[in-house]
Amino acid sequence: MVGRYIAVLLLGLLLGAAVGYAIPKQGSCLFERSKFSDAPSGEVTIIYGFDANYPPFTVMQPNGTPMGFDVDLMNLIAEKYGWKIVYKPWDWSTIVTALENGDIDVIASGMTFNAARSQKIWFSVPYYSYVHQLVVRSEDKRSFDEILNSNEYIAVQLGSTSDEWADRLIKAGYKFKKLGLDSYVSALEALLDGRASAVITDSAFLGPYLKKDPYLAAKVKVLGSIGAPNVYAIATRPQDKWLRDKINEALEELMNSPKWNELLKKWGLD
Amino acid sequence: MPSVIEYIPFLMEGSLWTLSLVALGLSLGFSLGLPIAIMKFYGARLDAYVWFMRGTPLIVLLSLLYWGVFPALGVKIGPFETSVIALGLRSSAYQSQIFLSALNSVDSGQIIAARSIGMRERQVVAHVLLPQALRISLPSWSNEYAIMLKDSSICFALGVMEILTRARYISVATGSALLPYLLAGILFFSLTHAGTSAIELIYRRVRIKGTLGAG
Amino acid sequence: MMLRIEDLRKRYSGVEVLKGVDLELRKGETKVIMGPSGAGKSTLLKCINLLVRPDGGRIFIDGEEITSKNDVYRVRQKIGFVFQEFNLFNHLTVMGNVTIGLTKVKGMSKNDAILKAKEVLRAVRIGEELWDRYPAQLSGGQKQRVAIARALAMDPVLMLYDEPTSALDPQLSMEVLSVMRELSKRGMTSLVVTHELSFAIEAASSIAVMYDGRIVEEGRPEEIIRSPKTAEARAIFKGRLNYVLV
Repeated sequence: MVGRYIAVLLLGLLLGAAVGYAIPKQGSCLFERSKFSDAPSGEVTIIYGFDANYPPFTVMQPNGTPMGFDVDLMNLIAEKYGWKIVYKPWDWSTIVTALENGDIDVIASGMTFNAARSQKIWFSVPYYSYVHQLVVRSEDKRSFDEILNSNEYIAVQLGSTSDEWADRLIKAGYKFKKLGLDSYVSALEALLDGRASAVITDSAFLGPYLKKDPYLAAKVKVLGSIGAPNVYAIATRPQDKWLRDKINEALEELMNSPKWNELLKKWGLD
Repeated sequence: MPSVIEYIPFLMEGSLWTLSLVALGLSLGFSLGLPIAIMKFYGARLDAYVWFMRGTPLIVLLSLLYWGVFPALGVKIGPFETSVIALGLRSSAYQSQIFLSALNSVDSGQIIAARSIGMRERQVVAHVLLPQALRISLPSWSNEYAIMLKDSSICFALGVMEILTRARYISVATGSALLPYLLAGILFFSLTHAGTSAIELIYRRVRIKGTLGAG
Repeated sequence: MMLRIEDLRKRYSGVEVLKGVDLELRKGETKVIMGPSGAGKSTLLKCINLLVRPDGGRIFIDGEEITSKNDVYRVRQKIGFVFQEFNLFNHLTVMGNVTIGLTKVKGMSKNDAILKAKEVLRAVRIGEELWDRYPAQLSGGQKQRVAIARALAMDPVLMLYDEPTSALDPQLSMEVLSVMRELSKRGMTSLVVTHELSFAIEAASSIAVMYDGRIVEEGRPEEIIRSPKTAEARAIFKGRLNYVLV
């Protein structure tokens, strides 16, 4: 008897979950008002979501707060308007849903602008451009095409744009095996110890990383770039028009000031 | 690049979160699992619940609750609390199995004897069944603790900064792929060992004389 | 009449185990029930304290009809039951086993319960050195005597013994049987299912032979053993004559 009630309860749970998913997300309608659609009264607190997995844009410090290019960027923007920032680290795989749901208000974490994402979240003006690169060991004399058709492992960071590139290349007919790891750092390690013959990464990560580690820089070389340049932008909910306008204003001002080059230089992104 | 050593306090801090998740998850699992086991012992058909909770991957359960059920119900339950609920619900299914098998292992003759001196059924459960079943369950239960410890890392999907998450951050921040995970592994091992040893100690003190290896 | 059973019937999944049992027991009397296995002896005992609900017939304890009542718990408190497998509570000490019924069912205070427990433990000759032991640390004979003490502590008006010594070797059986004999002598109304003829002769006022769900013959031990009237009774006592006439 009790079992039947429980089974019904569970069915209800599943139904509720399905409904929860299916209901058009509150706020997916552009004309619905959301937290930052208009200028809020009183103190403004922005919940800043990031995945501290991506130097030099977002990295975790020993004291538990993040640092990086994007962190400085957000802090500068907040400083301009007197906003308060609350740091909210979040897993990359669910970070977009977190933004949609209101757990966070902005994403500034080396997020690439692409058409698919812009259906659900809206981007600020781009603030950095980069290109995907194929990296091999220095002594490897093979050509670009030879590596991509070598049938060996090429390492990428799972869930990143380089992961998508690897899939696209394989689909296009290139013959190699994808080795998905948890970060670009691990991917480089795999390259060094021979588990992978190449790494697909991006210049935004690689440039500063190699600058900081000349020892490593000597052991690898960039063989070439893959695909067209991409850009990073700050993401917000579609209806938060006011927030996005303010961010864009601040970005334009910043990018046209000498402070911008200082910032780039600080993080090795120049 | 900062060295891994500097991050050790940061890593250790994760233990607080991990242990909270585990402690609360196990408690929730216990408060649900024990009644379910007792109900099943007396014939209630609760297989659907156990089947669902055991068969669903934790990450699916977590997402279902956080992005589906709670918003559909209109309640705002935070990431940490949702994690505890998901861990607890799943654990309750496993714990109910542990307790059910323990209840079944108590000789039914004792139940009849208890009734024969006039005990009501709830007294039989309270004074004869549970004292023995709970003691018998302890070894299996320490297994559940060890499993819960590992399962807790999935809660990062909701932004809870437990040990493994921090290890990943450290690995990226320091460029060291192996060391942070090694340290995290040592931490997990220590926590697992400490917990299971504690339970083992308790078991030895409360063990019923006459059960395997005791006396 | 302490115990009166009228036309008791019980069916287990289609099989009729008790086919109309009639039995009477006076206050202070000890009666032994004998018969082959499967005759329904155990079921009969379990019906008396309503551990098993009969399907038909009536049972009267001390004049009160218990079969029509729903409050089984009160009835069970008045009847002591001793099982073949002892069924002691493994997680409690000897003292704990005897006092638990007193404290939890009768609501006695811990001290009063302990006093009563000491009394009955002495009656079954379980010495003080055993009171803090656990069942696993006791011999079979000690376990059964503790079980008797547990039942006695509730101050029952009737004691039921379901093959109390069948799981014990002859040596240990003797300790238990002698305790039972003493209780009978002191006037405890007892109904005992057993194969121990010696006990029947020394302590019982009559033996009832049970076969196929019915009492087929009843009589004083010396008479029924020497000259059983029915075939079933003869089958039990046949060949026992030499052994008994000491």
